[in-house]
Amino acid sequence: MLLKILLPLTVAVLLPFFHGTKLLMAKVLFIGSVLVSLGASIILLIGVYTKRPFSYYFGGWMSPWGIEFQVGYLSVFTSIIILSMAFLVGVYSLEDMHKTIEKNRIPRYYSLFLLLVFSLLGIALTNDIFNLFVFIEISTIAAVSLITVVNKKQNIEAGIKYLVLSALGSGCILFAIALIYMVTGNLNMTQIGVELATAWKNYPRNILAASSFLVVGFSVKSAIFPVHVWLPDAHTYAPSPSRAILSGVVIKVYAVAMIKILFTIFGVEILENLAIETVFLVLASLSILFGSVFAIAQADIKRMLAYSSVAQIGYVYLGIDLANAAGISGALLHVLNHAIMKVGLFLIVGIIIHKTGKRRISDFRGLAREMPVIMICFTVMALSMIGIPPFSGFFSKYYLALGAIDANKHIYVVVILVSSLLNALYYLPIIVASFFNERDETSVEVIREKIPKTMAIPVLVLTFGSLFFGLFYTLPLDVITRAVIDLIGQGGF
Amino acid sequence: MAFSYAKEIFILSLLLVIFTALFFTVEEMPTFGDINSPSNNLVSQKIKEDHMEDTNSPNMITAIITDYRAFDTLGETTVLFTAICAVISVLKKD
Repeated sequence: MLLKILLPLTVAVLLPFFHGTKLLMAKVLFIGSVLVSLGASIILLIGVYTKRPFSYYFGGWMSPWGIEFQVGYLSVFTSIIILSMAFLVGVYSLEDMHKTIEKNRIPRYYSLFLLLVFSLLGIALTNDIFNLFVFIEISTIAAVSLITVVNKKQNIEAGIKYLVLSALGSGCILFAIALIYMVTGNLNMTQIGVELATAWKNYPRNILAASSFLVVGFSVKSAIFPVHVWLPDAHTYAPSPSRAILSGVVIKVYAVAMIKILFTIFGVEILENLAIETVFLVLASLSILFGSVFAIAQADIKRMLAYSSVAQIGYVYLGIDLANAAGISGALLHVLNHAIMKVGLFLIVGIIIHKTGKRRISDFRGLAREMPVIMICFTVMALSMIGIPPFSGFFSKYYLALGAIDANKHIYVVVILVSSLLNALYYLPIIVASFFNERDETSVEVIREKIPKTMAIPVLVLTFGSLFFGLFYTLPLDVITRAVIDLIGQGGF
Repeated sequence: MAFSYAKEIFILSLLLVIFTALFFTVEEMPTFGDINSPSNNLVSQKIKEDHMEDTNSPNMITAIITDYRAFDTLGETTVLFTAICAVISVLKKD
C-alpha cells in the first residue's frame, strides 16, 4: 500500500539525475515504477475484495490525531484508473515525446509526470481534508508544468492562464477547509462528518460559505461551465501525452475528491438543506450543453475534444449531485469510461497529427483509406462517446438517466439525451468524412512510415477496453456499487 | 466606453455581495481563543497534554509538523520540489 504511492515519488525525485546517455535508464525506471504501482493497486483491490477495506495511519497516530489513508472500494477503483491510464500514456509517450521536446528535457518531463501521478493517488486515497489540499497543490503545479514543458509562446500563455485560475481554485478550497475546521475542530473526513451532523445547526452560515467555496474551487479545478475557460487552451497546446492525462484523468480525480467531500463530510441530509446539489446540477447541465455546443463550432480537432471534455465532466458532476445510488454509480462508471475514451481519442489524434501534420477537422477527408486501423479505433471511441449501446459510453449515460428518474428530476434526462445528439453531431461527420469520402488532390499527405509500436499498442488496448467495458459493464459496476454503499449507505438501493 | 464601465460595476457589486456574505460568516465564527470553541476538542487537548511522551519534543508545533502530521510536511516539501522541477522545465537553456 505504501509502496504504491511512495514509489512514484521516489522515482520522480531520482529522475532528473538521469540525462544524456542515461535516457533509456530513466524511461525504464519511469515505466517500471508505474507498472509496479499498478500491480500493487490491483493486489490491493483483490485484498479489499477478499478481506475488507482498511485504513493506514501515518506514523501510527490513530484517526483523529494523525493522517489516515482509507483503502476502500472508491479509492482503489480510482487509483487503478489513474495508474492504468498513466501506464498506457507513459508507454505512448516513450516515442512521442522525442518529437515534441528536446532530449535532455525528457527525464524532467517524466519526473513531473510521476509527481502528478503521486498527487492524484494521494487525492484518491487520503481521508484527511488538509492532506487532500496538499495533494491538490502538488497536482496543480505538476499539471501546469506538463503543459509548459513545450517551449512555445502559446503553451506558456495557456499555462499561466491555468495556473492563475487553478491557484484561485486552490485558495477557495483552502478557505473552505479552514471554515470547516473552525466549526468542527477536526481534519479527518469521517470525524468531520460526525461532528458536522450536529455542528451545522449552530453555524449554518459558516457551513454555507464553506460549501460555496468548495463548489467554486472544485468547479475551477474540473472545468465546469462558467469557469472552464482555461481548459480549451491548456488541452489544445499541451503535448499529446500530457493532454491525454490532463483531460482523461486529472479533472476527474477532482470529481472523485468532490464525491468524498460531499458524502463523507456533508452527507445527504445537509446537502439537501443547503441546496448545493441544485446549484451544481444547474452548473453541470450548462456545462454539458455548452460544452457540446462549443465543440460543434470548433474547426481544430484538439479543441473540439477539449470542449467535449467540459461536457463529459458535466455528466460526472450531474451524476454526483443527483445524490442517489444510480446517479453516483453512473458518475463513477463515467469516470472510468470517459478516462478510456478521452485518453484513447487524444492519443489517436496525436498519431494522426504525427502522420499528417494536420489537425483541422476538414483535413480528415478520406483518411480511413490511408490508416484504416487507427480510424476504426477512432470510430469505436467516438461511438462510445455518443453512447451507442454495445460500447461502454452507453452504460454510464444509462445509469445517469436512471439516477435522474429516481431523483424525480426528469429534465436532466432530457439534458442527457440532447447532449448525446449534440455529441453525434460533432463526431459523426468526422467518421463519415474519413470513411466515405474519396481522397483527391486536395487531401492531406500522409507520411508513409509505420506507426511506432509503443504508440499503436496503447491505442489498441484502449479501444479493446472500451469494447470490453461495454460488454462486461457489470465488472466495474460491482466495485462501484460497493463504493456507493460505503458512501451513502445501504438505503439507496 | 459605457460597456467597460458596466463590466467594472458588475465586478464591484459582485465583490460587495461576497464581502457582505463573508462578513456575516466571520461574525458567526467562534471567538478566537474561546474555551468552548469547537476546535478546542479532544484532538487539540490530547496533543497539548501528551506531545512530550508521544514525540519527546518539548515544542508542540514541532511535534505536530514533524510527527503527528509528518506526511503533510512531506507533501509540502514535494510541492516545493515540484515547483523547482516545473521552473527548470520551463527555462530555455540548460
